[in-house]
Parts: sequence; C-alpha cells; structure tokens
Amino acid sequence: MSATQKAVTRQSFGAWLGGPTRGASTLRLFGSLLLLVVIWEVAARYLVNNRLLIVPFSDVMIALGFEAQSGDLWVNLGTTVAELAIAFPIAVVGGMVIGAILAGSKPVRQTLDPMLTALYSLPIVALAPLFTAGLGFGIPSKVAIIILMAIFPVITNTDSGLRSADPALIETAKSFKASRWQILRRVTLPHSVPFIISGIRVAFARALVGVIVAEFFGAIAGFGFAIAAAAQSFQTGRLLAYVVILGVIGLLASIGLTALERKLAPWKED
Amino acid sequence: MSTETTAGLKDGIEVSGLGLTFTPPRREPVVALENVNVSVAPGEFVCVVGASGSGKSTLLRLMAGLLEPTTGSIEIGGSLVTGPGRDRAMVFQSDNLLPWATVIDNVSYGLELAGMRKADARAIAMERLTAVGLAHVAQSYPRQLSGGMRQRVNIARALAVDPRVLLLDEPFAALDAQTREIMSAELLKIWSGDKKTVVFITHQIDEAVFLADRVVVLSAHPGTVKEIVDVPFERPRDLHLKRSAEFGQIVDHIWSLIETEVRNSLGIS
Repeated sequence: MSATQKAVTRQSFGAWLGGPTRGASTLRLFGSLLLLVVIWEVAARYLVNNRLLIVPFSDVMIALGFEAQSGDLWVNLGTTVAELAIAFPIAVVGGMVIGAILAGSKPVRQTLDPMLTALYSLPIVALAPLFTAGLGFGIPSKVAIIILMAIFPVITNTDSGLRSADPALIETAKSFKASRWQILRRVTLPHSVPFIISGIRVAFARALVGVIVAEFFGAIAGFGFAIAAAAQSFQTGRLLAYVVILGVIGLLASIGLTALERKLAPWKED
Repeated sequence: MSTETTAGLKDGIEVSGLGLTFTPPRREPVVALENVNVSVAPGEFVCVVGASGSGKSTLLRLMAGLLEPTTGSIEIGGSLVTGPGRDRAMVFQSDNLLPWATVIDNVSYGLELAGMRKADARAIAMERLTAVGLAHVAQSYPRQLSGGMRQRVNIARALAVDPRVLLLDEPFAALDAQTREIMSAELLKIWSGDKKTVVFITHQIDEAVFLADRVVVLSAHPGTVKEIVDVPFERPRDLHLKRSAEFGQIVDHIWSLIETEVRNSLGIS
C-alpha cells in the first residue's frame, strides 16, 4: 500500500469514527472506557504509590471477582437496585404530575416556587441521618432519600417544558379550532418530552448520590453499605470495585435515556 | 346561475364597522383598527397591504376568530364569526409546522384536530402533498426541508381541511425574492383549481397586485381602509405580467397611497 493510499484510508476511518453509525458509536464508547482503564492502570502502577488512595484497575477486578464469588456483590447490588427500582419511578411520575400542576396554574406555581427552589438547592443528603433514625436501616429510609433527591429536577423540567411551547404553534392549533386537551396532547406535551428526559437524566445522577449516602449512614446491605465497610477496613480494591459497578450503572442509565429520547423525540436527532 | 349564487354566497366575507382597541394594563389603549368595511365576494382573491401599524395581521386574526373585535362584526357565509372555525384555514408567516411531526403528519394535523380518523386524514394529506409536489418528503421532518418547501407544506396543511375561506398572513415574507415569485405563481395555480375565497396579507405591493382581484389598502394609526383598488388583469396570470406598464401603474398608485405613512413610520418627511 502506497503512502497516499494509507493517508486516504486513515482519513476515511477518522470520518467513519466521527460518524453516526452504530458501529462507530460502540467503538467510541469502548475506546473511551479502555483509555480510562489504561490511564488508571498506569497511574496506579507507576505514578501514585498510595495504595489506600488507589490500586491498579486489574487489582480492582480481582477484588470484584472475590465479591462476586462470595455472593456479597449480588446481595448489595440487589438491595441498591431494588431501592432505586422502587423510588425512582415514584420520583419521575410524581415529579411529572407536580410539574404539570405547576405549569397549569400560575398562582400555585408562584406560591410554591420559593419553597421548591429552596428544597431543590438544599443538599438533601444532609437529611440522610435523620431518615435512617426515623425510618430504620432498611429500604424505606433509602427510598425516601432517593425520592427527595430525584423529584426536583423532574418537577422543574416538566414545568418549564410544558410552559415553553412556541406560542405560534399554539395559535396555529387554535386556528384549527383545537380544544385545550388537543393543544396539550398535540403541542405542549410533545414539546416538553426532551425537557422531561433531561430532567430524568439529572434526577438519576442525584438518585445515585442519594442512595449511596443514605446507605453510608446505616444499612443492612447495598453499595453504600459495602463501600463504607470496605473503607473502614482499608480495602481500597473492594471499595473501588463497587465504585466501578456504580459507574457502569450510571453509564447504562445514560445510554438507556439516550435511546429513550431517540425513540420519543426522533425530531431532535441530526 | 341561481345555484351558483347560493353556493357562492356561503363563502363571502362581510366586514362591517370593524374596530379593535387593545387595552394593555397600566398603559394607554391602542386603536389597532377602526371602522373597517370590506366585502369579499365568494371565490374572490383579495390582498391587504398597508404600512406597518396598519393592523393588517390584526384584521386577518379577527377573520380567523383568534381575536375578538371591540366594535363591528365579521360575517362569513352569512354567519357571524365568534371564534375559530373549520370553514376557515390560516397560513401564518412562519411556517408553524410541528417540529416533532413528519411532513405527512403535519398536513393531516388540521383534519385530525377536526376528529377525522388518522388513516383517512393521511390519505387526504397525501393527495394534497402530491398536488404541491412534495409527496417525496412525506416522511421527512420539517427541519430537513428548505424554507420554501416548509411554506408549501404549511399551505398544503391549510388546504387539506378544505376550508371555504383561506387566510394567509404574509406567507412568503421569510422567503428570498426568487422563491417568493415562484411561490406566488404556484399559489395562483392552486387557487385556480377550486377558487376558494382568499384573503392574503402582504407588505409587498407587486405581490398583492399580481395575486389579487382587488387590493385593500389600509392606512395606519388607526388602521382603516384607505382605498380598495381593482386589479383588472385577466387570469390565468404569469410572472411576465409584472413587467407590463399597466401593472407598474397600479403598483405606483398603491405605493403613493401608503408612501407618506411608511416615511412617517421611519421618521422621514
């Protein structure tokens, strides 16, 4: 192969990698993760000697293997996932309903706005010890924290999504004699879908923080519980193993939401 | 003859003593329109021109039933306009297509809002799209189309509901000069098919003269009818008409009617 041919091949590979195909985006994803792993491995082996702070990625994978073998991984995973599976849908649906009520009524919105802003900006994890004390070490205290953490971005985004539809589109619907319900269903709701999905995205990140911190403060099982236990016995590899799984959960949720957005809001795609 | 008159009467527009005064909170009331009297014959193509502030768009929104008059009335086919109705369809200046709906779904939108089954609405929409030469983009989203194509989809959407009266609010204003020339010729071609009653707002005098049977010239502050100019050219018309001397005379005459106001609005005397 001549030099020019090579250049052409390389250029077209670059164009393909930057392109919209499923193969290219998969390769980008795994390439990006591989890069992270390599940097981690090199940094832990050759740059940072503090084994309490960081251990090589390969050691973390070994620790993860032990956790899986002992069964602890599955118990903790099951607990945290169950807490999220109960609480997160409640937060999303509840947030959408409250957001819709706010969007529908100006007096209600204006009255509740200061309260919602205060609660949204409050570090709700600070209430975690309180919930553990009040609701116990089990699942209910975690569910409460997750709902409180996750609900506000959904409320805010649903409200602003429903209220920001183009007035010209509403006027057009009216010129066709559309009813209020038809305007909601055909204009306002479709417009708000991308807003709601980005609210859910933020909500999930907050839910993860909420569940982990809640488990720190007292739990029978769960990722936060396992991480706190590993930290107390200076098992950095075990601790990071759970962090890696949390990262994977976050990544999967993000990919899932992107797919959902593509399905529900295909007009946004390029 | 008598049947034609009866059928025709249904689609005429009678604007009498129409006035609209906006009263913004804590500010002086603004008289947008005052004592407007216009009679549009069934199947007639009427254009409305006027300087900015003459209330052309307001007049059209009143006809569409999107605004309520403070005085006077509008009757369409003998019945009083009290709100939006399925006898009218409006084409706005910005195409106002639903960005989340495909072209075909945008064209069937008005029919579906009127309660038609989706499949039936789509069939009619497809016919309309074919008529405006856009069948090939039926499954595209609006943002994938050029401005001219989007505006054709917008017109197809209004025609799909088969209105008795078509109301157009500067539909070609956002298009470039060449595109709007072609579009106005296309509009005439579509209109010549079933001769709906058309009210077309524009600030482009030559466009108005090219399209209309009569041009309503509005004066500004307050908006009221200054003169109604007859356009005697035979139909079908083509774009070469615009280069004729008679055409230029009518355009000049209308321009002389509104020139002072345009200058005033710019602060030039």
